[in-house]
Order: sequence, then C-alpha cells, then structure tokens
Amino acid sequence: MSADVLITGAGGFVGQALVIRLGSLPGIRFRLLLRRPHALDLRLPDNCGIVAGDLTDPVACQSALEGVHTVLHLAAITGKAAPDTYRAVNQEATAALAAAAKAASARNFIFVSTIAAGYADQRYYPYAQSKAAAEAALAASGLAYTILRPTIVMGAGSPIADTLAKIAKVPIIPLLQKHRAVDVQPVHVDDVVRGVLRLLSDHIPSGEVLELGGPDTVSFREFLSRMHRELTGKNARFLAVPLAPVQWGLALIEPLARSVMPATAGQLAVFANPSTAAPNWLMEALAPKMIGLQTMLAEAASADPPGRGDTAAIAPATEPKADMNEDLTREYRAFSQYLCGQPPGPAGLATYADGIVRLGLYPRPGSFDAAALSLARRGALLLAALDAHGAFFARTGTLRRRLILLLAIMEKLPPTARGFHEVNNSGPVRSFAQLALAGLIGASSLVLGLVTAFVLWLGCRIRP
Amino acid sequence: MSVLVVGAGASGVHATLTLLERGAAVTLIDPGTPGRSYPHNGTPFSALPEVLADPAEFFLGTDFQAAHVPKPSGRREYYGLPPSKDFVFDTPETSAFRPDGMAALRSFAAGGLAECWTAGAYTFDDDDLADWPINAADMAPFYDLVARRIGIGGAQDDLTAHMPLHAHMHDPVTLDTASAVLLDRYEHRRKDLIRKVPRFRLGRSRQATLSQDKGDRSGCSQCGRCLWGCPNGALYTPSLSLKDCQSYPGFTYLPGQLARRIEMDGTGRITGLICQPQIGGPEEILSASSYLLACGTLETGRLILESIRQRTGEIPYLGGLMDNRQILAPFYNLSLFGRRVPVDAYQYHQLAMGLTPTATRPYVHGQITTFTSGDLHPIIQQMPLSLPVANTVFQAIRAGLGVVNLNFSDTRRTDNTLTLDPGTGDRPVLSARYRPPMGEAPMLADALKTVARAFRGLSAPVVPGMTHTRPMGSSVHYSGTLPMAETPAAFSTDKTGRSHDFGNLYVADGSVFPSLPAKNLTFTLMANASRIASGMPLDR
Repeated sequence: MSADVLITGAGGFVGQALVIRLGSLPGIRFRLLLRRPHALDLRLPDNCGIVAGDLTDPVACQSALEGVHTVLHLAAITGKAAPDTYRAVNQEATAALAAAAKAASARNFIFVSTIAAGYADQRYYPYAQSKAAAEAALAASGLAYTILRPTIVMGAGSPIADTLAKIAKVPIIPLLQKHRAVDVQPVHVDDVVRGVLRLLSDHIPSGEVLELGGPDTVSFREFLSRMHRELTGKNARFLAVPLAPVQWGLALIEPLARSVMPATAGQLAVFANPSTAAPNWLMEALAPKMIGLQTMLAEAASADPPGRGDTAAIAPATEPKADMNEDLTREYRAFSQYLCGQPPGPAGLATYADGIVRLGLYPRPGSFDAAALSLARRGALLLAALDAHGAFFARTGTLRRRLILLLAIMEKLPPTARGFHEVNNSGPVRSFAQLALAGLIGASSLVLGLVTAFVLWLGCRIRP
Repeated sequence: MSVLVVGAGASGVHATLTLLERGAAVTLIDPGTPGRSYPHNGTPFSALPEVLADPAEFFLGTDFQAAHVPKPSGRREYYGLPPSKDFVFDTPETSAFRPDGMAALRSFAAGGLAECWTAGAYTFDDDDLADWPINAADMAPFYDLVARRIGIGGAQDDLTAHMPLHAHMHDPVTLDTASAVLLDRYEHRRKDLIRKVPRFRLGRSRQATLSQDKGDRSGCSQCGRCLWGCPNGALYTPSLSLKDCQSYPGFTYLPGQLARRIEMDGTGRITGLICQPQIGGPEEILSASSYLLACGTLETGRLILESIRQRTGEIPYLGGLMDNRQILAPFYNLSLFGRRVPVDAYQYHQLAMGLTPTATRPYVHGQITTFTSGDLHPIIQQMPLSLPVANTVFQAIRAGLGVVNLNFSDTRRTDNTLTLDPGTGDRPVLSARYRPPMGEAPMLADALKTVARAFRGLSAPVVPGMTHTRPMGSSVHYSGTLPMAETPAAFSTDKTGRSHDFGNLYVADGSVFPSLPAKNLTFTLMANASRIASGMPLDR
C-alpha cells in the first residue's frame, strides 16, 4: 500500500493513540515501521500499512520510506536500558533514519523527542543525553524538520503516570530534592496527538524545537500531593530526601543491578529539573481545548483503558506454519505427560498444533525463549525446572504459553477432562500434606529452574 | 395504530410484548444475529466432553478464542465468555465504534447483551430512583408484569429492605454447597456481624432462573452449564420473549436490518426510519404511526446523532453517559479447604450483598458467586507456580473459592459523551468518551474495606492482592444519554419516554435513565420499557 507518512514507534503509548486518531482521517495514508508487528495490540485502520523491520536495518528503512513525504519518528528506548543501548537506538538509529529519509527525498521529519532532552542537569541520564544527541543529529541532517518535546505525557495507560501513581500512593512520599523545588506541566496524550496532527497538516517545517505541556503548571510536590489525594482520599505527607547522594548511590550499583532497581539514577533527573514547556505557537493553538490536570489525575487513579476502538490483534498470517514434525510430536508427548501423566486422547495433537498456529505461539529464533522451549522438550526434569522458572520470570514466554494452551486442551478433551472435574474429598489434613509436598516440589523446581535458566542464558550470550 | 420498534434486546422485546398485549401492530427491526441452541440437553457439564463431537471447538472455539493464553502485549480484561456465546458480540464491520476511556461491548444479537447475562434481576427502590421523575410505586406494576413473563426467584431476607418484593416471585434455585455454607454462617453470626459492620447485608440474589417448570421452559436441573448456555431454558434470555412475540398476529419481525437514521418533516415529526440490510444492499424506508427506540444506549445514541447530522450537518454531543464501576473481589471460604463440592451445580451468583446507603455514601450492590466449575486454566495460571504444582494447589482449594462482584452507582456528567467522529469509510464512527468522577478511588477503597471486614467476619476473607477494579465499560450497563426529565430540554424525554425533540418518538432503553443505581439494571430495563410501552397512545 502506498503511503504519505511513515510512523516509527507505533507500538508505544503515544504511537498507539496516534495510529487510532490517524485511522479516522481517511485523507492520510500512513505506514508503520515495526520491529514486531504481531506485538501491536491494535486493529489496523484501513488507511494504514505495515513494514516489518528494525530501525537500524537500512533495507527495511528504505522500503518503509518508499513514496513517503513525512516521517513521524517516535521510536525510542525508555525505562532502564544500558547507556550503549540508548545510544544505539535513540541516537544512532535516529541519525540513520534521518539519513535514509534524506536519501528517499522526504520533505518533512517530525521527531517526537522529550522534555528531558532540554534538561540542564543530564548527569547519570543516558536516555536524555541520547535524545539530545538525536536532536543534534537530525538538525545536522539537512532535512526539513520539527522537534516536539512533550513534558510528562499522561492519559489512560500512560506508563509514566503509572510510575508516578506508584510513588504518590505510599503513605509518606519520599520527595527527592536538589536545591529548590521543581515544577511540572503534564500534558495529555490526546493533546500530544492533536499537536502532532497540527504539525502534520498545515505546518511548514523550519527546524523548530517546540515544547509541549498541558494547561496547568504545579510544583512537583503539589502534583504528587494531588495525585495522592485522588488515589487515597487522604492528604499526602512528604519526607524530604537529598537527591545527590541517592543518585550517586544508584549510579554506582546501576551497571550490576539495573534490571532489578526500582529506578535508575537518571530517571530521578525529573526531581532535579523543571519539566515545564516554554510557550510557543503550537501550545497557544492547542490551549483552548487542552485537557486539564484534574482530569489527568482522575484517569491515572482509575486505571481505565485508553480509547482503542474495536480491538483485534493482527492475525499471525506471516508466522511459520507449525507442521507436525518430530519436534512438535515430541514436545506434545513430553508436555502432556508432564501436565497430566497421560496424553489427552486422539484429537489432542492436532488440536495442539492448530492452537499454536492460531495463537501464534512461536519464539523468536535464536532467543533465550527459543532455547528454553527446545531444552524443555528434552526431559521431564528440565521441563519442570524451566516451567517453574517461567512461572516467575517468563510468564509470557513461549514455553509457558504453549503449556497453558495444552492445559486448556487437556482440561476440555476426553479422557483427561474428567480428571480436572473429579474432585477428591481429601479433607483438610491430607490436603495440607499434599500442599506441603507441592510446595516442596515447587521450591526445588524453582531452584533447578534458576540454575538451568542461568546456564541457558550464558549459552545464548556466548553463541554468536 | 402501528409502532416500529428498533432493537430486540431486553428493553425492545418487553416493550414489544406490552404493545402487542395492548393490540397494537408492531414491526420490530434488529440486526438479530441468531443465537445457538445448546446441545445435549440432559448431559451435565462433567459428562459433556465425552458426548460432544468436537469438545475443543465447543469449549475453546475454532480460533482458540477461549484458550486464555497470556499475551506478551499485556493483560486484557477477561470476560470468560465461551465460544457458544460469541454470537452475542458479533458486530458488523459497517457499525464502527470508538470507545475512549472505557472498554465497551456491544451486541447485535437477537436478544441483545442479556443473551449472556448472569440473570441478576433486582428491583430499584425509592432511594435508587431519587433522581428519576418516577418512583418505586410507578415501577411496581411493571416489575410484577415482567416477573410474570420471565419468572424470577428470590426470597424475603435482609436485602428485601433495599429491593422491594414483587408479585410472581418463585423460590430461588437450590443453593450450591459453598453458597449455603456462607449464607448459613451469615444467619448464625448476623447480629454480631451487623454490629461490627453496620452497613453490610447478605441474602439470596434475585435470579431470572426458574427453579420449577414454566410453560416450555424447565426448571434448573443443576447441570452446571450456565456459562456455556443453559440447555433447557431455565435461565431466562430475551430471545425467549422474542419467540413469545411471534405468537401475536400483529407482530412483524425484520431481522438482519441495521437502523441507519430517522427522517422527519418540518415539524420535527418522524416520517420514517431508514434501514439497511446488515449484509449490505440499498437503504429502505419503514414507516409507522409511532417509533420506539430500544437498541441500547450506544446504538440509540448513534441513530439520534446520525439523524441530526444528516438533517442539519451539525454533530451534537449527547452528554451524561453512565456505567457501573465494578470491582471483582475474590474470597476464600476457609472451612471448605480440601473439601469436595459437586461440579455440576448452578454456576452463577446465588447470593447478593448490599452496603446500605449513608448520607455521603450511596448503596453498593454485590453479587456473590462461589466456584463450582468453569474454565480452570485461567485460574491455575494465575499462581506463580509451575503448572502441575499450581493444579494440585487449585484442586485442594477450589471448593472454597468465590468472588464478590461489586457494583457502584453512577451519575450523569456532561463531559461523558456520545458523538460521531469522521470515519475512514462513508459513515462516521460512533465515539463514546468516559472519564471517571473525581475522588473515585478513595470511595472504592472505602467500600472494599467494609466488604473485606464483613467477609472476614464470615470466615471467608477477601484474598489480598487479588482484587481487580474492572475498567469502565466492563459492566455493560451504559445509560443516561437521553434522560427522562420533568422539564423539557434538548436530548431528553419526558417521564413516559416520549422524546422532547421529536414528535412521535419514544425511547425505552437505558438511554432514559436519569441516574444509574448500583443494582444490575436489566430487570429495570425490561420493566421500564414495558411501562413506557403501556403509556404510548394507541388511538388511531
């Protein structure tokens, strides 16, 4: 399908909202560049196409850019990644995409950056540094561009609102402070989308950097205090904590403990820098209809779903077909023996194979996920160990998903169905004994699972 | 006198029955996606896998839509509806809809959303109807009427003070073991419990389920198949009343039709309804003396908005959209640990609870379902344990599992709206926007605390960390966008359901609710639709 606009990062929070809005504008034909199209949890509008591929892959970029006059670049790594990853994805991939857009003669490049790119204090914050560097790379690309820097983006389903709600919910809120209080000016995702549409429709790009905040500016303390009231109905209490030593300490342990840390030193930069937007023409144009802070706070407290339209995941049409090969047969035998002590009857294997295809239960080749699945086929002990590991650490891993599919089948197919519905009247004492035994088995499989997963993980890292 | 009724859901069929009983000629149009008959009447749930030709297809669906496998993209609201009820949510591509801030469901089935309801049938009392231009005495004859038609089980107990009794109430379905234990405990500890938790009341839920045979329908056989579709008609669904309509000579049913818009003359009187076959084809105009809209708040709203758009080019907003907030609070009945309870038993709620209103806190309503049977894999996988271990644990605890489904009332607020957005095709998209009220979370937490205290008192503590606040829209009790009002105003009706905007138009679904009480609304939808139909002028 031909397209006028290419969007990267459509699976993200702002990206999804944008796709839904653009979907209602038949005059615009757009295309998404997605690393994992099947992970997009959204019904694709008629005026939208997809190219599967990575930002860093020049071939994918080239085909995604074909015929496109505007690039809307939203893709970014956020959260808790390593500095190298930020550099590669946020900075280098943006530079590469800009170069490819230039080569493809795109006329307009809209980069949705972040207010953090303009933070004065970006110490320990490789995310902000990478976004600032990406902005600089875009500026040097020779393309006609606009940079949009939203502040804290709120709205139903907002990840940052979720994190802030967690902070604001505790009885005594730790308020990290540098020298003086900072202000925030959260903006609603609907208003960010309106801003992007405005840039898309009648704006001539001239290398502007436009910050975008909502209609209300309050101190961070006031923001957390109002959110606390919205969440709990009570007045917030604060505990002032000096920011510098906390950041220093977190930065120290970060290289080793990043994945288990509640926040990185860099993420705390939001306590050190004002997240407010400098006034500009775009904010002025959007202002009369902007969504206010109180609505954003009520939404954050409610955890209601974002507007998604009639949703339906994209059918896994391009996934490989599961053929009845030896691996699958072996897997089926091992798994059903493991779950029920017997296979689920003559229709079981075909049903299982069909379910895998329909639900798209495939691992990414070469991944830990794939290795775990293939190892789990090799024996009952390994399967028990990896299942226990998955129950804690890979709840959406392919192994666990396939086991749950098979459980669903065995629960409903004769002869195994009966076992699920004939309940033993063991009485409390025997049941306690059974539970104690189950607990013992569970705990030992978990220990074994952790060891197995660690070895497997090492194996995946070492293998080229 | 001819009446054109739009919508064959709970409201539409009961309005139609009343009109037919009054001697009117009624044409009923509806997309009318047909339901399924549920096979092997007489086979209980536990024996069903052996007798079904394709149990995988029946239980999991051809697309495995009922296999609840976790998604990497995150959790979706789980409705747990089986493939046999998929027809309820089959919506045509030509009826585009965009919910915002709510997870809305719609139905185009013959019988509507209540084809997959859990049969909770509660009367509203004067407190519930405080903002309505009618009171409980106005509603009473129509609760009686609907109860006579569909059969409602219930008992006189502590909840009666908040749910007026009505005529034609039969004994409820025999209690399942776990519900009986809970009710027995409440009765024994009642005095002490109410002293500790003064707002808490427990009693039998009111069920539109027969315990004895009635006409063609049999009483509940305890086959344990409620969820997959009651095979013997004990559990009432509106499609049964649709069948009753067909015995009247004045009745014409036109299924497969989508109502597109209404056409009016210069005086605002409706001259016809434009409809189109659902499978596509040319639009057609249907005419009658009066028109009655009962296609549910969302589609009735679309019809009004689209009619105004076609006529004036303007797209208004219909404000005041409401829905019940729901919280699912799983509890565990400690005394049932390791016990066996029959798997083949009535599956839906047998008990109900209420938190009585105070000056600042409205009535909170809850339905209590104890676990007998159901899809197990969605529950087993919740535990952070390897699956066989989780299954062992589940089997030991299953008899004591239960869930309270709490319902909270809602009020009309102007910024919760229905409107039309431009769409990609030639038709605009119906857009429903909902934002929660200020101060909601603390109010919910307060109610939950009270419920938790009460259930501790029943030795069935609410399981910590498992309580789930459902996203707005999940209760599917949408209402309030064309409210009944004493004083005429745009986009409202009078207390007889007559539109203040169009001369010969009546509205008889949830749209006309001026406020939304906590109790499940379906019984009131049916009774109110009958009330409105009973007041429509039928002179020639």
